[in-house]
Amino acid sequence: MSGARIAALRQYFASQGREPFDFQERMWRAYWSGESGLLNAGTGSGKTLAAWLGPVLDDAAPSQKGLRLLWITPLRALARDLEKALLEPLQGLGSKWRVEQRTGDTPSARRTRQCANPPHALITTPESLSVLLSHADMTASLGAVTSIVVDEWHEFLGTKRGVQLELCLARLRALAAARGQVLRIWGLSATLPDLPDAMRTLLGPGRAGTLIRAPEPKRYEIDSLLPASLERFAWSGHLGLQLLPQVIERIARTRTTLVFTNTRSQAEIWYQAIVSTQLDWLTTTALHHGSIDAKIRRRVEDGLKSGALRCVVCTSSLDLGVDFPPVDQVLQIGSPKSVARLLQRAGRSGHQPGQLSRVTVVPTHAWELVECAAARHAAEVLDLEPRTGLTLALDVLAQHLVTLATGEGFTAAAQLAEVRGTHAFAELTNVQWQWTLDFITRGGSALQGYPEFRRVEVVEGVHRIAGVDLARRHRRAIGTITSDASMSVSWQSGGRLGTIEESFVSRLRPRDVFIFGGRVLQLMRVRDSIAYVQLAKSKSRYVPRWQGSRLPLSASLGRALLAVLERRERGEVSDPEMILMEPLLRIQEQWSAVPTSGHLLVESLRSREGFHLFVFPFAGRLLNEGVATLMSARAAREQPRTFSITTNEYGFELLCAEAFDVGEATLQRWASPEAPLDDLLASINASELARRQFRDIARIAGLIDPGTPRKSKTARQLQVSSGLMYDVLQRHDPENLLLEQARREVLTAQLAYQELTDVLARMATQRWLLMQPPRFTPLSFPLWADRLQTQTLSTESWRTRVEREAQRLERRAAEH
Amino acid sequence: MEPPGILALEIRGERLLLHPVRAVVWPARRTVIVADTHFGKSSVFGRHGIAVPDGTDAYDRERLAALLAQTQAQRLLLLGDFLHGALDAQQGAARDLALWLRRLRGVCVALVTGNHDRTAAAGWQAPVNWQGDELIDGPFRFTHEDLNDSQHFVISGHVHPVVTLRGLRKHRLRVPVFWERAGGLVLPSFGSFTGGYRVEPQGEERVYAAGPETVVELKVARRARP
Repeated sequence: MSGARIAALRQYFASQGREPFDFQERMWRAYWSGESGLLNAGTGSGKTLAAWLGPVLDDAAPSQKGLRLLWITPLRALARDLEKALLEPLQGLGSKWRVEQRTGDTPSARRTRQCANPPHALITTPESLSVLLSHADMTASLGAVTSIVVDEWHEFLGTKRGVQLELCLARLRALAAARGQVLRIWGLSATLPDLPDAMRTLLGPGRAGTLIRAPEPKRYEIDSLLPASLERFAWSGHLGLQLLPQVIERIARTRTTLVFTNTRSQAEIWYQAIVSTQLDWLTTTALHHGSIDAKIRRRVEDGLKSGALRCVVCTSSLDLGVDFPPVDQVLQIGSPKSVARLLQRAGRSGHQPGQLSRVTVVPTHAWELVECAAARHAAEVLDLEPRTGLTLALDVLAQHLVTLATGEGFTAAAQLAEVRGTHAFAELTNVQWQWTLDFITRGGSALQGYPEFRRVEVVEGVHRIAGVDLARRHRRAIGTITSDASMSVSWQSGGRLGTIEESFVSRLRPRDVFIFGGRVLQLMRVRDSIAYVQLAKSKSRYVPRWQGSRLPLSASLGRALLAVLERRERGEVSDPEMILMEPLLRIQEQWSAVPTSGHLLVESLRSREGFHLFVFPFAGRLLNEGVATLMSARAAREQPRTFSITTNEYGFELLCAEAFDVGEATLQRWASPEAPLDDLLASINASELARRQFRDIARIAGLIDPGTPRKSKTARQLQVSSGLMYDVLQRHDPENLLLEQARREVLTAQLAYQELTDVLARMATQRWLLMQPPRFTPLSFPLWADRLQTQTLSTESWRTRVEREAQRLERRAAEH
Repeated sequence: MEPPGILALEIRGERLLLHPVRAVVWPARRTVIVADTHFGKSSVFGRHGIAVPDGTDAYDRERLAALLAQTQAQRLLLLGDFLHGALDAQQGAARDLALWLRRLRGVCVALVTGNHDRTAAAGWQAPVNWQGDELIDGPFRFTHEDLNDSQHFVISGHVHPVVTLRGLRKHRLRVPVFWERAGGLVLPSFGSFTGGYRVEPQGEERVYAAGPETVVELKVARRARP
């Protein structure tokens, strides 16, 4: 049986002048024998056909209408390309499958048609899948699904979208089981350190799966664009355009180039810089990032495919699937952040199996030279960053349960079994389950009143949404990606350019000039949440900032960085970046000391601002913040104090208005790996961390109204900040499990408790170099100057803080 | 002298006491003045499927009753937005509030209308003395949001003023304030489930921060402007 199918597929491949890869055939056979599993393969390896042709050949000429396959993609921007890729082989195979997509961008008329007459295969996102589950009339269609492909599973893993997807898959599995069918689920993933674990997370605990690996097709080369000398090369800053001339030269030399940046702002700035010096490149250079309107992005993607563009400046928006021919060179502006991501970006060049993939890092400040050398060493030994699935995200569970209640409803016992079948909720306790049910039916635990609350009601044992208005509001709120309130940017004369954060627009006045979407724009007016703009003649003054999640330096890369410095200490320096760095490292050595794997650097000094303590664990931004929070909380417990905590990828600064003891014994007591859990929990309460984390939880769990595009009277009445909600819950329902979740998320996700204890343990074994440099050093200066991420931790009374800040204001006023 | 934590202002010959609970006491008239209580807000949220725990109303009623008892006030003056939205007379929020009002024997409760009270009028009618848009007493005009008056000193609410103090680095402290402007005083919102609107005092304006236990004048208004 499968022999005949394999023959048919080989024949089809031969007609294309190719033959199937071994891993593709293994994948088809596994599918036909009813297995689920995970395929590990890179972009451009043929993974799409490996996952697609199995189901298609299973039933090439479907006699019945109805949905059979769902293809889940992390980015709706990818849906269109996927649709093409899936349609392409159908004709040659004589298949009658209908393929459509359904995302947030799909027009409502088409969505209605899809309900009445569903295609055989539907390409969609986890959010749109949730919305489908919230429509009772889609249940029958979804129940007919027999196979699911989760594309780019590594992108979902470890995120709340991943949890949402796990819950949706559990639902679909139950719907299939009700029809006596077995759902086949296949994930496609890039290389991860623990692939079996990634597969278990996708399929749920205790379910067998088949892991198939495509051979690593590529060799990688990582180098960097070196400044002529380090003199005048900044010690810090992330927008540094110093190497612009060399970047332009590199772009001019090759046919096609991708310029990756780490943030959308950085992409805007580099695009502007390139086209304003190379006017004749204006039509062949483009900008691509997530806030640019989808239509414009598509034009850019088409340009990449047709070869009309020579250079595209982009962010992670082009990291994933978007299918286009390999480019000739890939440049990475600024820190690579993570080895895995750098390799993924490198993979955009030299797509063919066996070909060399190469990426050139363009440092924006001196220390990124060391990062580049470190990334190269880590890539050689494939020391990649691990990713593990989140667990017990009750906010996502609450949202999902309301989604099901909005759809055909659920009964408690069956639903609990279904939910526990996922990796995310396998360990869900009865108490947590009951609380979540109470939360959606009563507002919170039975011990606490929630006046007049109505959301989900239980009628004869079935949980259903309590009204059509609530259903409508819930569908609008579905989704776990949260971002700041955003505004459309449109031409005065009509036509949308993209979205921008409301907080940025609110700081602008009409006539102010800013750059967006690669253009210099003037704000004309703001109306109905739309910022109307026209082209500006003057030079730009502002660059929008998007909150987005900035990726921290990975622990792997941090370790590699210290290892490189350790090698230098031993006199084993061969990397060109390190040779160039030498003078700066000498300065660091003269004024203070150079940290290594075995030596923890601590610097303290006094300035007009107050008393500074710098510590450099090189653990990445989030873990550094964890260490900083712990140390300052322990310090503030010994004596009431207020600390300003600033972190970057290499270390952190504790700033205090008054001097404090920085002796080795004191500091090591504050950083002790003994019983960090209790102290951390206490510090999370004292700091603003949990409050900050609660923002996303409140939105996902439905404690914050998503609002309507046009703000109605009701929407205005329901406006509340997550901070206020947090305070009210703290005071009146302190046992609320969402508060506990916020603390737990800070602990596990943000401070990465497990990794944090590793860092503390490592610090305890390192030799501490306590230096008192005469001025800010090459390592501490960036922390002082950039102040990228600062929070406050205080144990002082309200009055002390208010009075000190008021006095400070007075002093400053007097200086004027 | 006033008890610690309270700040006294002399306005048009009248002594007003600013209380840290975000209320003004006018001893000469034995009056307690508060703005923007937004009672019933958690019920309004609950009806729309947003879970806000019970307790904010009770907490605010207790704070207010304690102040009335402590000052032996004969009049409670509400500067608008007494209710957050229309309440169901049969439901807890309205019933509890009605009971509480009945228990305030000997205290006359007067309300000048705020924008939320107009929406709330569709529901339960609170048994208070509705004054319309304003109440004039002595040198003062009490209103919800209107400020223009050449004759009287205007005491109002509506704005929910807060001031952000900037400390070291990004250290930000948001504090609710009494905001004294030319010819008027804006009260901080009294309701504990209400947000704040950041104001930046200009010129001769003064702000007084209402903390957990004390009212402190912030000299931010003196910030030099070229």
